[in-house]
Amino acid sequence: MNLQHQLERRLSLAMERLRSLALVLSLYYLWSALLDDPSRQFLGYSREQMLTYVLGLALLRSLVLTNRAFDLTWEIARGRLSFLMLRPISVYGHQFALDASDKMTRLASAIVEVALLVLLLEARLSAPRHPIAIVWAAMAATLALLLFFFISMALATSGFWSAESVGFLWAASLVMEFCSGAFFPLDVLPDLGRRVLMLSPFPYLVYFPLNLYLERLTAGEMIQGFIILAFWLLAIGLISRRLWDIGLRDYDAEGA
Amino acid sequence: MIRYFRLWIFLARLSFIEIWSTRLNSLGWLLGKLVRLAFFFLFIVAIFRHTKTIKGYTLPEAALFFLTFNLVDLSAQILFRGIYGIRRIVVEGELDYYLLSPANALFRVAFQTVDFLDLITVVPVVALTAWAITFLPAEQLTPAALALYGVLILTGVTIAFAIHVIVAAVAVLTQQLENTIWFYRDMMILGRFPVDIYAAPIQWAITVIIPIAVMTSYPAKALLGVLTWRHFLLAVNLAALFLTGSLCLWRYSLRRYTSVSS
Repeated sequence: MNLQHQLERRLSLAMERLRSLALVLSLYYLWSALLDDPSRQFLGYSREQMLTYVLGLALLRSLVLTNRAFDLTWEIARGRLSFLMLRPISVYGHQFALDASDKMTRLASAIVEVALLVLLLEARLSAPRHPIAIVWAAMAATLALLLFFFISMALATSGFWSAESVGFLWAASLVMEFCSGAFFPLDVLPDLGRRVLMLSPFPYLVYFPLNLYLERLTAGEMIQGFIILAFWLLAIGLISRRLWDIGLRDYDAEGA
Repeated sequence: MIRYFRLWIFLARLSFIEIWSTRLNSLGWLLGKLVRLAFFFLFIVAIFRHTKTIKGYTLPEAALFFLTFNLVDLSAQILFRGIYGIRRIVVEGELDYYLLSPANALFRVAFQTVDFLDLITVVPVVALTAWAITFLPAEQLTPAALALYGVLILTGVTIAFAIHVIVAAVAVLTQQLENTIWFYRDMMILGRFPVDIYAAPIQWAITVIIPIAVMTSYPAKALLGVLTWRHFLLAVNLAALFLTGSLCLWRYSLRRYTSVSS
């Protein structure tokens, strides 16, 4: 149904996708300018690797970094969650289904956009030497998708305690996007800053899967990455569920 | 003129009351705006830890492009935020009241909201711009170059106003296109970096079709002494063309307006 709803508003969806292209184009040309000499490396990335990172980022933004936290926060704050709670389905399951359908539409259009960009820009991309890298990257992206879902659900619980949390949600989502490598590879940061950031959950949303695909990680870094990712997935999953339980006890369906 | 200034002050006061009534939420939005500014600025600084120039521009010069983009964009946000609510104004019939009131309807639509959060955000932008300018060679900072920079920023804000008016006119004509203004906003992303980084067709498109480059890159180029007079004249003429065209379209949209819900 969500898919149908989105496709009913095709112009809105097309405009939204066109907008997302602007960010990818600006980053693509910025890195192209920095790596105009194909023999040169920047931050340890070859030109092909960096442009693959930027275009891969467009795909991962659609697959991982889409969420319904804003809508859900409004629904909670306005008491509209009651309609959902009266149904014989889990709120979590319902949100995940909606999230999945959002991602499906956005990912499908992102694939078309990236393919068109590759053709139009005649971009030379980096393909992994070992096909297993694609499997690792896909696995990391799937776990990242779940991690971001739990983070979003945890953030959405702010609606239980304040109707004025949307501004902070936006600020938080911007911090997450920057810290996940969704604007630029985290290698641009000073080494200490990057190492500290790698202990947080955010780099595992975009930077880690893309670096797995680009085969830029050693076996040790890869194992360590998956362990940290699994830890955060479990921890934030539990925190998110706990926050929902506490929030639902406080929920008074204001305005419903 | 004084009458309209007093009206603007009154509308600004209403906007402030609205922001103050949801101050916690406003604080969150403000925080987001400052975070975005800080992260992008730090990103540019971080890039220059690994390279000396981007397309021949040094760090202060590249920073000047980014900050000029912010100056123009934030000025438009502060002044013309009212356009973002145009669809609601049309669909709910509020435009009828604007048309009946003894003030210009476009003035009410465009200036009905003053974005105080952007007014706060512009403070660090101005400070950082001044900081970036101090790094430019003294011989480059002639009064004429500074005046040209100011004139081209005004040209950029004028083009931004014209684009906002076009969006308003289209909304009056169609009662739709809620995404149009956001499309413009996101296209503005392309102005964060010097226009020279883009391929020729994109440079042409963001100079002539949606003149983002004229709004954001030209003022910085003028200050750096790399803008030709031909480009300066192009900027002024484009601003005049966009402004005239947008006002004609607005008048046409009002002639076609038949009132939606009243």
